[in-house]
Amino acid sequence: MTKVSENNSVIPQDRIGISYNLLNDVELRSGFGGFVPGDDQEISEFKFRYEKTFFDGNFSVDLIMPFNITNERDQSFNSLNGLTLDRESELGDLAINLKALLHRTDRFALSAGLMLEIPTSDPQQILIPIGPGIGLQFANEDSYFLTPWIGGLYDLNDKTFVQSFMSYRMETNRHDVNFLIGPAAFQIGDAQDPNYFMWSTQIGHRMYENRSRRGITAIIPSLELHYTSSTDTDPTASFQTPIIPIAIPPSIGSVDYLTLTLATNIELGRKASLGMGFGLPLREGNSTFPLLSSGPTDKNFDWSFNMNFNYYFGS
Amino acid sequence: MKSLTTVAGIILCLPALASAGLLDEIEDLQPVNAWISSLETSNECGSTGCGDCCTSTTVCGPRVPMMMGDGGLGCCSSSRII
Repeated sequence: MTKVSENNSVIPQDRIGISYNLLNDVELRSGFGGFVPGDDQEISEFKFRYEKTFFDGNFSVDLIMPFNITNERDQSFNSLNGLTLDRESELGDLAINLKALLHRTDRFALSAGLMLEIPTSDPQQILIPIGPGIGLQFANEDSYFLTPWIGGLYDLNDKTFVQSFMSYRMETNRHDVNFLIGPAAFQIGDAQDPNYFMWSTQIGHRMYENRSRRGITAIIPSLELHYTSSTDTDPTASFQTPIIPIAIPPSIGSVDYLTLTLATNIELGRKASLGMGFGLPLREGNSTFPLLSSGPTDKNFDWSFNMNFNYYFGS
Repeated sequence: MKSLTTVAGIILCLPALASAGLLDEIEDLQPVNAWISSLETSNECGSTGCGDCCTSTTVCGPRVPMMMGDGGLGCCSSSRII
């Protein structure tokens, strides 16, 4: 998924950029309500973006295209203890973020927007090795996500600032769960991802600045907190099957992720910036479905390394 | 293939629209113009960036700070294997 708070600012800008996240020891859970544990994996995410302002810089449209190096979309059961873990690089879901600057004074800026995630990734399939192509498919072609958001930026003094984003991500409609037999797919149910409330805040300090046009023109260390919480009472892939009369319960219950990110932004000349950060989850959490507990629920990775680069082509 | 075509279409379309001046033409429409003017009056720094009214390098640039984030896939797509 793409979060509004990733490599973003409250102010609309003209830029092209790339961001990279390395997530270490991501705990794998299967699509069956998340109750099949798997090995910890390393995931790399790349996001390419193009943001263009219009209406005198008061609005912008931001196109974000993710690529991930992660587990293969087609997984095979080889035992009840886990899945095969072949890796691949894959296209993620294209995100389009509209941003509107609502108000700006010399010390404060407020903006709001709407992000749409379009299902450009391949569907997830879990194959059972009892015959060729037999398994389950989580079809995602109708799976669109909408995230309305609001953000603010405030100057505490000449050098220190606070920036925040609040957003709410929701899937617009349930996606089909299909039973696969070779090339044929039969719908046996549907599923929906939980909705998430997200809040991110950053406090930063311009510790070094010079007015030259070359080299390092500013160094801005910052501290960020990122909170993500599922707002549903029964989140995580709960799906009901009209043909097979079972409802697979959610196994990990509601989740509350809280991550601390320590980052530094380096401005290069007047046209580029490079950021590097290190993220640490602050919560562990426990499964609310103890029989099928598969580890901490409020922590999805041990640590993350984050990096972004932006080139500003506007004035 | 269909997905890639959609992505390529969208990515190619927006800059093309912008370079053809279509966004500017929309901006020249009377109701849109009025709306933008109303935004400008609520914007002490003016619509063309910040200019002399603004001394803040954070809010008004030349470069505003970016939030790093915590990684997008770190959570959420629970109906899929991440």
